[in-house]
Amino acid sequence: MRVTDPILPLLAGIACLLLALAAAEAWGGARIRHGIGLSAACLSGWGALLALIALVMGNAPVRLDLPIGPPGASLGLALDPLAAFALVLVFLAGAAVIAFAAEQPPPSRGAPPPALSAPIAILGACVLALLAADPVMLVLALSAAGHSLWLTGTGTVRRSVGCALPPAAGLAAAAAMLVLAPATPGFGPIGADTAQTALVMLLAFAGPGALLGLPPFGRSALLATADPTGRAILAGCLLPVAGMLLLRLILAPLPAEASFWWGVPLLALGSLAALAGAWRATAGTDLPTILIGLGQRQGGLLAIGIGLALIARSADLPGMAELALGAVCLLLVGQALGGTLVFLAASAAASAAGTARLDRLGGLLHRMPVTGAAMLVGLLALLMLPPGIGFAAMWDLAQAILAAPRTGLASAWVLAPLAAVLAFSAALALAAAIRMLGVAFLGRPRLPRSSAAEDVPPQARLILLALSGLALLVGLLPALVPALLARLAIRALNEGAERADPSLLALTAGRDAYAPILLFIVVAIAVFVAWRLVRRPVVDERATPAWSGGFAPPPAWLPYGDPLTQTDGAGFVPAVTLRVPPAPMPRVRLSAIRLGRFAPWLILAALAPLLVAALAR
Amino acid sequence: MTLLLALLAQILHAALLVAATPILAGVLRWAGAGFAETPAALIRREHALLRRLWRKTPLPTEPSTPLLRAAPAIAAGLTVVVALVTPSFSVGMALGGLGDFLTVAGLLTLARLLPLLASLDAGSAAGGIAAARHVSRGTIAAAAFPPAILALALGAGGLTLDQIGAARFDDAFVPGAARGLAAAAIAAIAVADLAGPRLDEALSGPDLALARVTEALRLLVWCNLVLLLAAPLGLVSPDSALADWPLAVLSWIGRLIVLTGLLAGAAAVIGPPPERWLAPALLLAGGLAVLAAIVALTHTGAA
Repeated sequence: MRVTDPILPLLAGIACLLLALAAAEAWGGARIRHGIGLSAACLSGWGALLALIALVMGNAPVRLDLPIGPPGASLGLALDPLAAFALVLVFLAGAAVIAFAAEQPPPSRGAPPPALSAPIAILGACVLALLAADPVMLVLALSAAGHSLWLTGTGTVRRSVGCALPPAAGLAAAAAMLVLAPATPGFGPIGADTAQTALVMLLAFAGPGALLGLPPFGRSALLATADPTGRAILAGCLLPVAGMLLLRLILAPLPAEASFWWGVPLLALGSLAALAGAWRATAGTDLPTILIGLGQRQGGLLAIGIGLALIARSADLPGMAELALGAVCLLLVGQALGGTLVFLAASAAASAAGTARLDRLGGLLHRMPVTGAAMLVGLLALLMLPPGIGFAAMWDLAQAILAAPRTGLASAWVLAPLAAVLAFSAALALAAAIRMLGVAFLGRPRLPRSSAAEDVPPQARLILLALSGLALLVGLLPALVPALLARLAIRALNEGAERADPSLLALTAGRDAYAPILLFIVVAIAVFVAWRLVRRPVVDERATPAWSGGFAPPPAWLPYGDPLTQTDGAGFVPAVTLRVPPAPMPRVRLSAIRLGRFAPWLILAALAPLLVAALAR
Repeated sequence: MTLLLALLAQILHAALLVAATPILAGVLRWAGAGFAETPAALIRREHALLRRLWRKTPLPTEPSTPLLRAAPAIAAGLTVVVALVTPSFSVGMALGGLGDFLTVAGLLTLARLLPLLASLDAGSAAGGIAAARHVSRGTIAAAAFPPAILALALGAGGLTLDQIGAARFDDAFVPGAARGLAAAAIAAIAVADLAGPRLDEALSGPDLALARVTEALRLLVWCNLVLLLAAPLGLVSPDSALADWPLAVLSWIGRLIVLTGLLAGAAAVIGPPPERWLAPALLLAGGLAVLAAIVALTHTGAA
């Protein structure tokens, strides 16, 4: 018996326990909320550890057939390096979100604390979706996620079609699995049939692609809920699951001869999503809209990485494919750590200041230093700035693009605009981040509530600091991901090719290496010298008001100065008439149908035949 | 031995930077002042101003975050590292392999970002307007930068500045047109970066002095980058004969004088680049950069 053999049942058990804890919390209410939250976070931590062990041991994929299932088949779970890599991320992000939410105080005195059942259930559902080896299990897992999203909504928000996004994506992915292997549905290879390939691609774009925000079907999964904890768990868990499904449905099964012509549309869709997301972030007027835009941009970058890997495979360039896949893995890590951090920090800021609108926030970094620092580190993981994870991912993508001309002349007309699109989306995302930080976290408060905002409780601070430390560590040692964590996953997707001379200090070997840790040391020395030059011991250092630019002193009833003399974020991007409305998911009034009300019963109805079939055996 | 020579080249490069930074900034200020007085007088005056600022007690503005109070020092450290990594007369310096072109672009962005955030932190109208202008301009500039880098890196076969600088030696960089277009794009980006409104309104004392020195060094870094891309003439490497080094230093000084003359002429005739020119110029730079990338990609793909 191999060491990894018991890991799969244990992981499946953890997923089931998480679902059970979610049900218990929904039933038991606020009395057991804190204990359930901490138990779920501990379980997630154990899950991350088990997945890490599976990754390190590196044995062959394991499959577990359950004694239940549709007639003639059984539900199956499987653990391979790809799933193990994603599980580490999902469990880490899930543990952080649930523990953070459990430690958060109620939004106002006397109000009930937000329920934890939905985030815990979404985490369990995401774990099952990653372990699913057959279409039925995948649909069930993503339906459970959709139902949990329904639980996070209240009033009219509950009636939004957002909660239908994960089940719809699950159905599309399951249909793609059926097309791939009609006899034994799973993630099999695609044959030479062009129609079959086109159908699988279409379903993949419509399913997991839509969750990532890829056009034409795409509305980012982050729009599916208005609950801050729900958004954080979607950013940290559901988006990596969608990325992993896209890898399984597009990259793994596609034959080399069809890769180039399916890689190009993926590049185009990814570019559109990256630009649309970055623009949404730049035009956003509140914290969630900006962060949703950054999440959609991350989805677009993932698609671009997969597209480059497909083009590399078509030209039999395993080195380039490996760079592109390394970028994809780094983007997934960046989303799981950075995406979670920014949504947690935004939820804490909005809760403490009473609003998420940029033009009502201000000066939060002075009152909430830990939350502000977490936001800064999270953004660093998503943006193209050294030494962040986002920069390392972009560096790998740039190296892949540099190798691309060997794929043929046609790529010249694709790759030059692609480089410009990548750069423009990175610049827009940076502008959005500066605007958000500058207006909401820096400067003077705009409302009394902001000036009295309190940082998160000490336990929640520890969670933010731990996640920030992890994001910084991966940013400084990005080679940990392709050379250690995702090595087996990349090898499985890249048909056995392996990074030459893998180093933990630098991405790629030789003169072209990007070694942020060495760079950081040199920069730290230079900064220390500059700091020592400027900071001499001063006896009487006092602060003065900033030069008001000649404006009259503010009257007594404006204790934080005249708000008109402080920028509200307008004018940060060039005036372009194109506007992507930062509207949330359109609310479809399902007053006649109210599918959401029946969602639990629908899921039970779907499960009933399986239970009957299991009992009949 | 090569390592020692690389270290020696690095030290010589640092000494040249220290000598050239005040002269370059002083000459451009002299040209901007319509060639009034002499450049030496302006350099002396700037030096006196820096000494005076250095002795002053810093007066931080009221809503000031500790991290952002360190912004001038962090920006200075980042700019110094970029300056040390960017070759002047020699490739293959001790720190040369540390930063590729993309990393240099990232570090330059970071060095601009921190003062920008610090100016927003002051909560003043002027700081907010300056930051908004820098961001809106930097957004277009940042879009033009990577295609230009791609064009240059494709010809050189790698992203490091050493490879791009040395590519001319072994005649591996045939599409000179792509290099020229990319260098023009980067020159436009440099002008837009340096011509922005001041971000040091909220600084005082030693912090302000450090910010002024950093800005002068940033100007030299951009000049070095443009020289490396547009005219990498006479560069040596640690493997070259020591007798070639003085010639390489003289070549760099000569090229820098020519570039400074061009910049000084432009500063005297045009003055500060008009605001309305910058966005179209940057869009043109973006177009040039994409064109350069297409030329380089087509050439590399055909080869």
